Amino acid sequence: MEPKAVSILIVEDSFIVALHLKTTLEAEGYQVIGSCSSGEEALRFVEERKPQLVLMDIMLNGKLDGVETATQINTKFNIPIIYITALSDKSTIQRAKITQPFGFLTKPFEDREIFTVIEMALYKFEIESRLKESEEKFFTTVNSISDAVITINQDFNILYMNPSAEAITQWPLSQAVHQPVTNVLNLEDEETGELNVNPAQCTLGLRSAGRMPERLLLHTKMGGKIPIGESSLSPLLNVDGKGRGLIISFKDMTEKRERERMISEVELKRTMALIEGQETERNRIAKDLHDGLGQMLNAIKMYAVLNRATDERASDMGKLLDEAIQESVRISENLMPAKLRDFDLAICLRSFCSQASDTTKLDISFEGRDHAMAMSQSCKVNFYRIAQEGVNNAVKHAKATTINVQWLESGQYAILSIEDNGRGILMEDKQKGKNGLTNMKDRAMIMGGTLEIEGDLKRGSLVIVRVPIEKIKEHE
Amino acid sequence: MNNTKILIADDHAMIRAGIRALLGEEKEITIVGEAATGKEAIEKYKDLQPDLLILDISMPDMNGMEVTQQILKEDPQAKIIILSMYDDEEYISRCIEYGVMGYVIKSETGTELAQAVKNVLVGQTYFSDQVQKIIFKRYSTNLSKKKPKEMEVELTKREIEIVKLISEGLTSKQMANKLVISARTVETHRANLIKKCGVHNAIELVKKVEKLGLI
Repeated sequence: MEPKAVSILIVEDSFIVALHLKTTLEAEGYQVIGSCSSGEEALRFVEERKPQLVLMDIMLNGKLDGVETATQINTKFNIPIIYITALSDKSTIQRAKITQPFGFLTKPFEDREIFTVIEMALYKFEIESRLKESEEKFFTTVNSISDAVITINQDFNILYMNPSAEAITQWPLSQAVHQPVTNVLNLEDEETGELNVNPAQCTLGLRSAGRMPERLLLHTKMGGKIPIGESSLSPLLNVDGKGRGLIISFKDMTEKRERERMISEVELKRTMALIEGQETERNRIAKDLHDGLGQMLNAIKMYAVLNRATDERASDMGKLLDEAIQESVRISENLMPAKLRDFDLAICLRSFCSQASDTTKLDISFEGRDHAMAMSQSCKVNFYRIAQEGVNNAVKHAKATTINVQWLESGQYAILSIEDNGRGILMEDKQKGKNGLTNMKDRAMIMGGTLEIEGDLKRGSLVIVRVPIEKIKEHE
Repeated sequence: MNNTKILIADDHAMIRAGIRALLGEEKEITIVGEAATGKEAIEKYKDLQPDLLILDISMPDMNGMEVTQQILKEDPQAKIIILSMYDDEEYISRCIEYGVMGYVIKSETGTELAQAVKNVLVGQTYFSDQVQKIIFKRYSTNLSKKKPKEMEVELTKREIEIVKLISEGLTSKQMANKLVISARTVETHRANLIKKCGVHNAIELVKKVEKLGLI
């Protein structure tokens, strides 16, 4: 290795030794930038000139000896130090060792020895610096990323947690270390509330990376629950490629969930406004048709009847008027059945089924108590529309011949179900939200309920709307 | 029958005028008043003590069915004819239940209304042609649907499937797995079945369904 112009400070109280060292080193191409005889002087020099290497005699003039001087240099600067000493008593060497010197030169030494020790020291220093640097980089990265990172060993015990992981789990690293991972990473499935196998344990032993399921809730140390997600599980590998643990990383999803929740709330409000607006408008048009146009036609007819004696064509006109009246009633009823205003849901559904049965000549029946619970007009309309849509789908798309609509108030739920013997709702339709399924779903949702659909060729299709009775009472 | 007093309640002036014109041909009839809302109808009925009230169903504030109930509560002898656009069985049967003596659908007025007035005034009931058809149709459907008492419960395919599995001792979860449906759906079927069959638990349910010969 070609010695480069490395700047060296010699700290040596013996002038002769110092001079000899200087000459030897400079002859070899090193740059000796200073020579101090006391520790105090050396500290000042290092402060000012920052040499790249210090040769330090342990015995020095002044208050500080070489070991003490080296200790002080170490705390302030990152400079490799080599001790030069005639002493070889164990306690001094022990003291010197703690300062992590980069080498020892024991007097008397040969010139060649000096170069070897210096080159070794410089090489070691460079390697260590690089290692330190990469370690620092790694730690700052791991420590500053917002993702929680937990490292566990093969026995599922915690090796390390970064500050994000500490914050989410509320376990300080000092307490978490050596704990079984299940104590710290206490998880449950958000929906079912159960989780028998900790997902962190599944990938262990495998060499490939994986991830934990989404929608997990983490129980914090203080008993809170935090949604986590976007996780990754990577094996911690030894040099020989054997797994010796697992790196688990995940994110705190609280904010994201909150954002999602807000978005869906806005969406729900929008849907609600849309559907309610639609119903209001339908109601208005239905009323206009029924009370305005319809009544006008009726009045016209009365006068026409009065004039029958005098005009022969009046009876023809009467027939036309009848048709016009029926048409206006029909349109009005389609838009908003008048019954919904005057009767409870069970009666309306029963009547709807018998009418549908009459017009389609199919077996459309209603099961349920005689009267439904009190509910707001909009709830009633929503249930009614879902039933309408469901029966309509069964007739038109599923080609059913038997349709059964059921209304049930049971325990905490009000349940409307529409079941048919048709060819079943195709999954494709379900996914695409075809055939008014989206509308049914939206209506169920704005009532605070859920809509389930299933169907197959053998059993036909089944739509179940389930709304908590509490929610219905809230609306009322 | 001389100088019979009639009160007309309908929220449409045009219709009221039409009824007036129709009945005006009868000499012994006097239209003593008109009401445009349900409440007004009740007030005017009290004030004017008419022999007959011709009443619309769809009115602001109070509908004709409520008006009927109210008036008959205070004056059980009151004679009321419903003149409505509604030809649904629900409205008709409800009005009959509440005690109206006649029901005429607006689009058939003319002779029907005049006849209804005549009949009701002499203490008879009158239900127009169309109304009678609707009542008869409902009655006949009810008759044809009435099965022997034991068979009054009708179960859907799925429900029968569920009862079978209940009788085999499967839990909701097992049934859900077997039928490839959700456990909640199974629960819904169970609840429906128990309600439908008028029983209290699964054991009674299976017994009842067996008795009905459905499984």
